[in-house]
Parts: sequence; structure tokens; C-alpha cells
Amino acid sequence: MSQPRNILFVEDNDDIRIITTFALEHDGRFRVLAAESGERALQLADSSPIDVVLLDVMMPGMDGTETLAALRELEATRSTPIVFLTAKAQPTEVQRLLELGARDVLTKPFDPLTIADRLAGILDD
Amino acid sequence: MSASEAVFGALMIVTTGLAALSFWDLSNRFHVENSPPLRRIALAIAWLTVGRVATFIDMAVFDGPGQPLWHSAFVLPAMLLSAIFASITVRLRSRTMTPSLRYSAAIISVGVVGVIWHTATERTFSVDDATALKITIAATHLIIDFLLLSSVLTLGAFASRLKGTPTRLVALGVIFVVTSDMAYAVEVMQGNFRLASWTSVGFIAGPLLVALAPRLVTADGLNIRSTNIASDTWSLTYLPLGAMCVLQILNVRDDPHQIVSLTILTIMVILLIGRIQSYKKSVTTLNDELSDSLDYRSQELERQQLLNDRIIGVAADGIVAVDIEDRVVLCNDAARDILSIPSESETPERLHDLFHRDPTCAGDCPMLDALHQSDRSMHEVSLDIEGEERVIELAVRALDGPAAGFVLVFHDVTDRARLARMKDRIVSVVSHEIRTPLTSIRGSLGLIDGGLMGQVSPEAKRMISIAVDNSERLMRLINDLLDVERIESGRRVLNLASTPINVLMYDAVTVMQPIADVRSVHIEYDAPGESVLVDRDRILQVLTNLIQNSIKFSDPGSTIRLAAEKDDSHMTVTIRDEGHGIPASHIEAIFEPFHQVDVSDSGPSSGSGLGLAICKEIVEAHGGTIWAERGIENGAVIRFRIPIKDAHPFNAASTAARATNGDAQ
Repeated sequence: MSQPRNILFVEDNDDIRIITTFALEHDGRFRVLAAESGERALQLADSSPIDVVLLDVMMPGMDGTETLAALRELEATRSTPIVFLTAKAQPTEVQRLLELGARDVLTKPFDPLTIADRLAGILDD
Repeated sequence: MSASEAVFGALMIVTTGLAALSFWDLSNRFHVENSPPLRRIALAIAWLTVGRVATFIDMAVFDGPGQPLWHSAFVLPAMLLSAIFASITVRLRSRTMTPSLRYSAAIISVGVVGVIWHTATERTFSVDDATALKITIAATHLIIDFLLLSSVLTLGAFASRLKGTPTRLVALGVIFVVTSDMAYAVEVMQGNFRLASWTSVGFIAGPLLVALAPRLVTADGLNIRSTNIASDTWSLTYLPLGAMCVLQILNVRDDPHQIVSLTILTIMVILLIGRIQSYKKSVTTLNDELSDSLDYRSQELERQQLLNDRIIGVAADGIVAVDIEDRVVLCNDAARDILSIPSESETPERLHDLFHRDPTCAGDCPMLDALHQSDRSMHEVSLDIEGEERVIELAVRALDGPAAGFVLVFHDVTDRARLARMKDRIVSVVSHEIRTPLTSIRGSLGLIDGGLMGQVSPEAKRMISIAVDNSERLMRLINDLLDVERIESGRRVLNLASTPINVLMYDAVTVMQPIADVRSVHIEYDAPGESVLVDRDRILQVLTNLIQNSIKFSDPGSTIRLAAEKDDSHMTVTIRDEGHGIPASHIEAIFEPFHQVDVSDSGPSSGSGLGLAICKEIVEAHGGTIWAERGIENGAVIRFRIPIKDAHPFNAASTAARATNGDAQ
């Protein structure tokens, strides 16, 4: 089994963060760096190598799109794949997020057991 | 030929010539239907002028009444023509001439009888050399004079319906000429005619009056007006005749023969008066009828106008009419209310100032251009009214004909627009707020169900599975709600591609097969390989929704059949099941949101009541129709028909990304 990949998971909702982190860790292919806000995500990104970012869109304070912009400013995460997680499933919203440079967009609610496969797929592309 | 006769003769020529020129000029001034009759009259008078020249020469050469009276060769036809033209002019205006024609015939007959009587008695002719030719010509003068007189009196009687004063002047002028000509004829027969005598004054005064008449004609004077006949007809027609009779009586009071001829003349005058009276009566009746009908029509118009004004006045919608120059010709109270215009007097004159009010778009307003782009259009525009943004919904219709321009009917939909925006926000927020906890619930249950939390008892696993099913159902409901909301908001963007219909059916059946298997329902399909231009995912959604619906109402062992049929322009897809069928009362209602045929049908298989409503929205967005039928034996039939080519209303070029659902793997 290869070295686990580092996921930076940014989600303000504690429950979703805990459940998803649990599922991803359980899968075994990932190591999860969980952040409850955009600001915290930037700190983590600065201090650890990141393979993929799973980023919630609607958050208090710095929201998903602002966090994305800030991550692109950092040398370490300039070209890291970023996957958005959103409760807005409208195609126009999905389109908007893709145009911001997201690799993929996942809509809530989702099955936590399938998310690891999805992220692995993106990283193996 | 005396000097006074020479002057008189010359004056006769000049005045008659003037009358002819005057009419000719009038015919040129107005290029209207009146021109030809006016020209004919001018021609007749011109001919008379030539006759006057001939008379002058007659007088100069023969020094007295012309021996062969050859000038009459000009004068008589001219007067005959005048009589005919005057009659024609009147007849053009009135179809009720029968009594007047009878009077004319009577007058002419009496005139002829009178002349014959004069001729027969011979005693009237005091000169011996009166030749038969001379008498005949003089008698012809008399007959034509009567003819002309009767025509011109008719003209005078109709004056008020023709051109009023000018026509009366013409009538009076001709009466002068005719009176003098009658005297002339009688004097010629008696051999005592003198040109410069008082009986000949009419030869000069008459043409002068005729010449003056066209000067008084104005452009609008040529229009027929309907007024009562002026009482001055009496003074114009009867006075000269009366005067002539009195003069004659004074002349002949000692001569019984002359008294006989005077009696004849009096009978003719009475007949003339009778004729005029009959005209007046018919004209008055006609006038009364006309004015009654006019009164009725104008009252009717007034009533209609009042009704229209009231309707426009009480209309809740703003109504504004503009002419082709965009000048405001109508603006009702509601329009002023909506546009915050305090009073009628402050209503702007230009459409632009009424609506857009932006002084920067001088003569080139994009809003007005948009409103004028077609004959019928609907718009929703945002206006800045007294610093407040108002949303106005406008229907614009172009008008043609005499009231060409545009009519704008509008109402303020600001509140509606605000509500719609608020609803959008609420739907968006609520769906987000529901999705977030649902994500946690679904996630937690998923972890337990997946065995990540350790082993659970079979009972607990069953409960978990119910909870997972229901959380998924709840999620579908939210997605459906959002779908309906999105489609209804007109934000539906179709991602069109040419797709074979059998491929769509195959995909739909593949997706639904597992659910059908659970209920032991068979699915068959038969479709041509024809392609349709559709949003593949959306039509797939329609097909899966319809199949799911059929499965729901099918008994185990029954079959659902899908078929597609193509005609010239459309593809009709049919989904037929052998289930419970659709009650007749629900055939149309099933496509309404939240409509469920069997409300007691609950449990995991029941839907949100939105499935068919979504199908309807999607099919209609493709420019198609969907409807339900009762099966021939049992079961339900649902068909939808979509254009094969690109004919849907929301054909926006779109690169809409495929929404990737986290749980749709």
C-alpha cells in the first residue's frame, strides 16, 4: 500500500467534518488535515504538504471561494487540486465553481463511504 | 348704335367674360370632384361671352335688334348648357328629384303654350316685318329662359346644401340674366328692343354676381353642409319675378291680350313657387332625417366615448397611448399613479419623459427602442421613480390607421418581483439549511450501515436502512423542489445535443431495471434510431420519472411498454402500464405540483408529488407537450411529444456543467 495522501478538509459544520474525516481516515488511503475555517486551512497548508483540498463553499468568515483564492496565492498549494463541497446543486452554481478553478464539485448530502474513491480518482487522473 | 349702347354692349361682354374666367379659376383652385362641373359651367359662360360679342357686332352692324338674330346661335346653346349643368350639379347632390322634374315639365309646357298663344294671336307683334324665324328664335329664347330659370331656382333652393352664399349668388345672377333675356325676347317680338334700356340691366348685373360668387368659395366651403334652407331664398327668387310681373301689369293694363299673357305668366310663377316649395319640403325632410341620424350617431358616439373614458379611467392597469412621434395622447389615472405623476396637467408630453426620464439618452433611448421593436411585445422594465426602483410589467401593442402609434398597458410588479426574489432566497437558504444536517444524518447512518462503527444487530441494521432510505427520500424531495423552482423561475438552461431516442430509452430502462425487478415488473421498449435535439439528462429524467411512476402503480408480473413514434416534425414517446390507471378526474391535474392520485399511498415508494410536474416543465422547456390517457383496457398511458428540430423556447447556448452528485456513483 502506498503512502497515504494528505487531504486538507475545510468544513465549518462540526458534524460533517467529523463524519467525513472518520470515513476518509477509515478508508486508509488518506491522511486528513481538518480545518473548521478558511483561516485555519491556510495555516495548515503553510505547514504541511497537501495533495488535495476538499473545501466547503458556504462558511462564516472566509468562505470557500475566498479560501480558494488565498490557497492559490501560497507557493505550496498554487496548483493543488481543489474539490468543492456545496449544498447548492444548481448547474449555474456548479458551473461558477468550476470556472473558479475547482477540479470537481460534490453536492451535499453525500455518502461518506464513496467520497474516498472520488478523491482517489481525481488524484490518479 | 348709340354711345350708351356701345358701352352697354362692351360691359356685357366684359362681365360675362369675367364670370367665365372666375369659374375657370375656381375649377383650378380646387382639384376635387367639383372641378369637372365647375369647368363645364365656365365653358357655358364662355360660350355666352362669345354670344355677347356676337350681340355687340349685331348691334353695331344692324343698328338695332339683329335682323337674323344670329348672335342667338351662341347665346341659346350657352344658356341651354347652363341649364343642363345646373340641373346636373343639383342632381349629383340629390336623388330625390322626381317632384321637381314634374314641375319643370309643367313650367316648360305652360311656357310653350304661352309662346304659341302669342304667336297665334300675332297681335303682340307690333312690327310688320317680324319674320317666322325671328319669332321662333325669340320663342326659343323664352323656352330656354324658363328652363334655365327652373334649374337655377333648384340650385338656389339647394344652396344651403351646396356652397351656401356663393351658390345663391350664382342663382341670383342667372335669374337677372334670365329676366333680362325674357324681356329681350318679348321686346324683340314686339320690335321695341333697346340694348341700353333698364330691362337689359340684368345682362350686366347677372354676370357680375356670377363672377363674384367663386371669389367667396373657400376650401371648406366646398364641403356639403347640412343646415336649414335660408329664408333669403324668398328674396332671391320671388322678388325679381314679382317685380317683373308688376312691371308687366303696369305695361299692359289697357290691353286684354297682354292680360291673357300675364295670366299665363302668373300661372307659371305659381307653378315655380310650387316647385320651389316642393324642393324645400323634400330638402327639409332630408335635412331633418340627416340631422336626426347625425344626432343619434353623435349621441351614440358620445355615449361610447364616455363609456371608453370611464373604462380607461377605472382600469387598474396604467394605459398610455402615444402617436408615431412618441407624443403622449392618452394617460389614464392608474398610469399617473404608477408613475407618480401628481396631476393630468403635469403629464409629460413625450413617452421618454413619462417612463425612462433619463436625460442622458437624448433621442436614442435603449428602453424605448426595446418597446418599439415589434408590434406586440411584453416587457419587464426597472424604472427609477422618485428615487425608488420600481419594476413595471408592460404590454406594448402597435396601432395603425388614423390613430397610428403605440398603446402601452402596464402595472407595477415591484412587490411581485420582490416576493419572487425573496422566495428564491428562501428556497436557496432553506434547501441549504436542510441539506447540511441531512448530510450529517446521511453520513452518520452511512458509516453505521457500512459497518465502520462495528457490528450492529440485524434489527438495528433494518432500522438504519429505513433511516437511510428516508433521508435519501428527503433529499430527493429537496432536489425536486429545487428543480421545480429552478424551472419555474425560467432559469432552466438546456444543454442540447442530438441524441438517438432508443439510446435514451435504453439508458432510462437500465437505470430503472433494479427497481422494476424488486416489484417483479417487466419493462419493454421499442424505439426507432431517430435522433432528437434534447438535453439528454433532462429527458432521461422525464423517462425515469415516468417509468418510476408506472412501476409504483403496477402489480407484480405486469408489463410497462415504452414506444416512440416519429412524424414530420415531432417525436411522440408513449409509456403504457397495466396498473391501476388514472381516474378521469385526475387526467389533467396529475401534472400539477404536489398532486397525488392516491393520498393514502404512503411509504418509501411514494413520491413528492413533483415528479410529473417536473416532467411537464422539462417537456415544455423543450417546446413539447405531455398528457395522460386512460389505457384501453386498464392501466395508464402517458405520452409526451417533443420537436425533433430545435424549436424550444429556452434555446440558450449553454455550456452548463454536469452537476456531479456525491452519492451518484
